[in-house]
Amino acid sequence: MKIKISRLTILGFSALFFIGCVSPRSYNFWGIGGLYPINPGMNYGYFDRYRTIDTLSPELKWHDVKKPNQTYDVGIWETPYRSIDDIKKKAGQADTSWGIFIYQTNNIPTNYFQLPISLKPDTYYNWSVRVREGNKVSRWSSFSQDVDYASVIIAHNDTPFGFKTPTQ
Amino acid sequence: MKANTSFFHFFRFPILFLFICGVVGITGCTTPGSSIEVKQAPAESLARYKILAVDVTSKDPDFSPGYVVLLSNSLVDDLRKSGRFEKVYDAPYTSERDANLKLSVLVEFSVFDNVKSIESSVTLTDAAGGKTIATALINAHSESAFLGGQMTNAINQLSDRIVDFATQR
Repeated sequence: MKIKISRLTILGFSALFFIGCVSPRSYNFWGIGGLYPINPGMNYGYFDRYRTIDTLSPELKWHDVKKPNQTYDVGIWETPYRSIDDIKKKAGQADTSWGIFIYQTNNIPTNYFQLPISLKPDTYYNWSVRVREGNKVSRWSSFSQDVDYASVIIAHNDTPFGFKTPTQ
Repeated sequence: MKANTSFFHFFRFPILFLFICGVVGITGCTTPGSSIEVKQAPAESLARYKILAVDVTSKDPDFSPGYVVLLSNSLVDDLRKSGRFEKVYDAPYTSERDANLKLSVLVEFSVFDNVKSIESSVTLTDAAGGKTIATALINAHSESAFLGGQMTNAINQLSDRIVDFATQR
């Protein structure tokens, strides 16, 4: 069987691909029982998903999903990212660490938590929440972010919540 | 904790897939390499330093403790082979404290894509006074290969470049 592919078809697909590279579309899918961050929020773009906050001791707030007999744990990880370029460099990795685990607290009865420590300025942090019932805990909450580059969809799974601290 | 990335829908458009393969095939011929940006050159000769302690750490958890040990071993071996120092040892794994020069290597960032790469900051310190003698940013990368380059090749490149920096007189 002879397959005919016109130059116009190849040109069209090439153009689609490059247009897709310039303006990828992102979709966030929140996981682990509907746990998602309220403050600081996340941007709908994988590379610039970290919003810059205005304090080194933020109050973290998330969608409340726990039952009356449950509490929350909060964890914070310091990432090695120094810029959006670094996020782009690691975007193609199959697995990416959440960073160095720097803080954890447990048995929080509310869906918000005022961080009692001062974080480093101009630093990218990941954070997450899990539900605790006595000694039983859920997985750390995360989300999936799909980036659509024209026809190629890249799924970034198990992505933690995050923010960037201000330069001081 | 790790985030993961997966790729799908590649085969929805075979022509596009072939086009991408072509682009990657043409442009993906990277060979292992390294680069150095000297931030502070030594103000005087380093010839008087005879005993060197090596200390490698990582602030990027993707560059795991196993890779830290590989880099550390490679550095200690290569520095000993250079014959520049009377004694070289891996600081975290010995009780020896007689070094008069300390080589600190901090892995700032690593990428485990098709091409593996490492970005590090390297500092030479006078072990007695604690004074910084020289600093540099040294990066290295592996080759690109069909199934991905090897991190060990990037580590060897980094080690070679750091040895050049540490053995200057």
